[in-house]
Amino acid sequence: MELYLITGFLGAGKTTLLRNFIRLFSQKRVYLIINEFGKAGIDGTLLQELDAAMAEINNGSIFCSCRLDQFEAVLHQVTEASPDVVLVEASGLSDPTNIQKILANPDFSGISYRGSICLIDACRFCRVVETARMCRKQVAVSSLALVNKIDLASEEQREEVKNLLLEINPGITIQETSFGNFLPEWLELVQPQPQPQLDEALASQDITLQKACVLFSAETTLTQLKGFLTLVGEETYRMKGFVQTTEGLYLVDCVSSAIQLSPYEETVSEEEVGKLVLLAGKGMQLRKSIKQAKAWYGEVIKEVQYGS
Amino acid sequence: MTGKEQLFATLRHEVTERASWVPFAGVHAGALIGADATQVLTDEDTLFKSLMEVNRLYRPDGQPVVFDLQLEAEILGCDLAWAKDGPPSVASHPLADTMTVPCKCKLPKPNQGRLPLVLSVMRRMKEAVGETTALYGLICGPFTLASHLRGNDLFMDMYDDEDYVNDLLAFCTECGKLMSDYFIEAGMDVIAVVDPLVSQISTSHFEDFLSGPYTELFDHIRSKGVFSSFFVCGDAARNIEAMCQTSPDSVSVDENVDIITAKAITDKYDVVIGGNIPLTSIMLHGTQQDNMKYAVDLLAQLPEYKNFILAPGCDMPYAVPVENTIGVAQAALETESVRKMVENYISDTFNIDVQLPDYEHLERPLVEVCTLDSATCAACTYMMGAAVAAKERFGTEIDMVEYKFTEKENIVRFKMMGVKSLPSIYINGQLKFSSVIPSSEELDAAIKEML
Amino acid sequence: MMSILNDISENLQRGKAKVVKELVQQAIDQGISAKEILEDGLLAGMSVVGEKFKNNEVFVPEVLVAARAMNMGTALLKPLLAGDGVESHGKVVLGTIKGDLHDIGKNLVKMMMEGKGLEVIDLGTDVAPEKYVEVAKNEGCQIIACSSLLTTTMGMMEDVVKAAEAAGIRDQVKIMVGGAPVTDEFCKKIGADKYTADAASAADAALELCEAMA
Repeated sequence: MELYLITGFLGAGKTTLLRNFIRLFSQKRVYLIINEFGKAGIDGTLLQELDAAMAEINNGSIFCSCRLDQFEAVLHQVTEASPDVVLVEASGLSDPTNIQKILANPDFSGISYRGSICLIDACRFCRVVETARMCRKQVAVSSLALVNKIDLASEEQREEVKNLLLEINPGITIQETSFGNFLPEWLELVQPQPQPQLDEALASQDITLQKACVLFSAETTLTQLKGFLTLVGEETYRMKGFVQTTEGLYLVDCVSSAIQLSPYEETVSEEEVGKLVLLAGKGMQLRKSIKQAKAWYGEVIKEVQYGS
Repeated sequence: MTGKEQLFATLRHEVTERASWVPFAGVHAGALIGADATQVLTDEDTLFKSLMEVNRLYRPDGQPVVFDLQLEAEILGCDLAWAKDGPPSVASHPLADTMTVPCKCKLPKPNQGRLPLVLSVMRRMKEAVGETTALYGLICGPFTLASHLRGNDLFMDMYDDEDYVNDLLAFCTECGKLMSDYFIEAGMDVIAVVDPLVSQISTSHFEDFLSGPYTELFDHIRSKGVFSSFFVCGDAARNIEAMCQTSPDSVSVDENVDIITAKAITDKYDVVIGGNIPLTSIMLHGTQQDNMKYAVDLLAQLPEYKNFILAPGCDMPYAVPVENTIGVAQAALETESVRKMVENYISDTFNIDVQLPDYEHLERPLVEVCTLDSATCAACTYMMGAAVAAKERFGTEIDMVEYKFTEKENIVRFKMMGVKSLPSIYINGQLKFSSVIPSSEELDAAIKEML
Repeated sequence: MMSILNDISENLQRGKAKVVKELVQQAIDQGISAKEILEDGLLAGMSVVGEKFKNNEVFVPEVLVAARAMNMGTALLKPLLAGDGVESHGKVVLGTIKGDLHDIGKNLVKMMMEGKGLEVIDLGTDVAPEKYVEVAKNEGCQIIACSSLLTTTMGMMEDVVKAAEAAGIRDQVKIMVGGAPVTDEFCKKIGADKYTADAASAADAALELCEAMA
């Protein structure tokens, strides 16, 4: 049983990459472990179209090591099905070194760890790496850095990203791509890396990650929803969820202030509807901007929960 | 009765024969063995050795194992600025520009930061002196920890976003509970929650934000079967009553609080109060006489020894002269005899004719040991012991004599000799060793110089 | 007219920054001079807060929110003040001494001094003795104010006095010292000019010194 890890910061395009990546194993029995944020569990829903078994870790190890037990439980479940390939999409902010620690457990001796791919957003990487410590760890444990979205990036940005990646992990191989495309020959570039010696800055805690869950009423108009996303987007890494508006069900999937809203035709479980999960990090005024947005759209915001 | 039994009796609110004595020797412990503050707080053996020296010289009923309010903050991502003569300061606040409450999974674990070192020293101290000395485990209070994480904006948040402050304090309270558990597990007898910033807010803010967390914290500590203490610094007088209402077993205050007035309040709640020898003016810059006088004067104001612990105002400055603490220890342990010494020293009206030896024309070296009283003062016992051992080695080659401060005659003698601190050793009228006990090699070398 | 200035003062004392901002705008619209709004509204309110702080009636959080309200108000007034002939009452360079990172007390001093109409250059914490002097010299400050919260750093304040002497500006500046372990006796010992026990007294003293030097 082979296991691949796909890491990358929030919004780098991991879900899209996974869709392409999974095609490399079309002759094999693949099991996906999706470990993406919040109760919204969107990635799970979207990936149902792919013919692969899938386990989902909801509300799981988003930022933290606190729900590693969930990952472990799911991994047990997966090994019982004994697929040929296991693909783990590590959540965009989670610590990939934890996953390797779990694989060291003798229970999982049947799993051969094949390595980690780190997906990089060519336009945003240099900025997020400054504030989110996890970015560095994700690069440090990976043998292949796949720089995505180069169609949107300038020549200088691409150069800057490459230099930065090599600075963090001198041994890393870098490939560039767009739209999460993954060439078959890149697969051999994915190799297990020895556990990196993390310097002190990486070893200490990052307590600046923020999460909020905003509950919208079904009375929300599309204009109100857009207004909310515009007000708050700047102060987030990611906003994701399904919102029932007066104009129908919408999927919200935003990276920072780039607002992406699309009508959603498929069915979504009742408890997921109306829940928008927002993730932010150091220096972002998530609480303040939500408070401000509440002043404007208070009548359609039913509840705000903060957590991490 | 061991010191530990003495302190426990006080914490059980019993009347005792003398006041309990708890020297807060944090980084100062290092000064006893020539180690700097950073070494004390980062090197396990140095810390252990320093604390053992505190135990030996100051004869505490209870003593803190480490006094560093930055321990938790460091694990949670605050940068620290280290100093040679004081505990580290927090140099960055991770939540300064990020208003969030960390996930509980970020709470300190026993293998993080300096916790392995601290827990190990706690176990070693428990093993070494735990039978006779009560050990204090100090945790950073929720309000101070919240300010370490959030910075000064925390004060503003109290107006702008009360929910946030409550949530952040709840996190810091959880941290306190967890740290207490680690420390109790490592053998601590008393958990002291140290929250200097409590003096910077009004009573109504204390009640709004801190009464809940503190009550929870002290309930937790009580449920684990150990004693608790609430340490504040600064002028916290107005908040003493609200602090008592959170039900700690004891509180500790510094010189900014009139401890006798405060005791009237703590007595109402049957809470022990500790304090408050001034750290700078008396302990650091005063003489040994000042320290003994301050302590006996303070104790004299108590109708009985109940619900009271004699202690420095807070963490003692690194460079407090050893003899000053020895003086306070003696005042706590032998209050009556020290009271007499102080009275005699001040009155000085007695007319005793003391003849100093003719130091210039001695037949052989004269070792004079000046002590508070080698029978009762630990440091004096060791100093005297060193001299006795030297006398045995040198035999008739030298003369050796002890002068106890308890005798009026010696008060006059010490004034004539210019003795400033006790215990000390003079050889041929010259001060050779003061407060710190010399090794046999050091003492022999000093004697041989005079042979 | 008096009532709106009174309202500004009252709301400032309660830390109502938004209300203060609105009221200051209203006062401007009513044609009240910026100087009057500043002195009889904002500074009057801050002075009450300072007095209460000195008397242990209010504490750090209350002072911080009041100061924030004052800053909201003065921000509106700044562009108008230049034309109103309001001059600064004096210039102070302020900081916590080298080796010391405590800043709450120093920040309070700054707010109180600004509340007295003094211009304050805040050098932050961990400030080298020469730095105070260099800034005082270049900016023409009448006062150097140093804070220290540690017994281990207070000694460094003496170096500020020496640095001012070495730079030849000792007769042009007054050196103020403060902080928990600092005493009047210590101030005299190191040859500084003024010790005060709290932030409000520091502001009063600074204003007095500036006026005496004017």
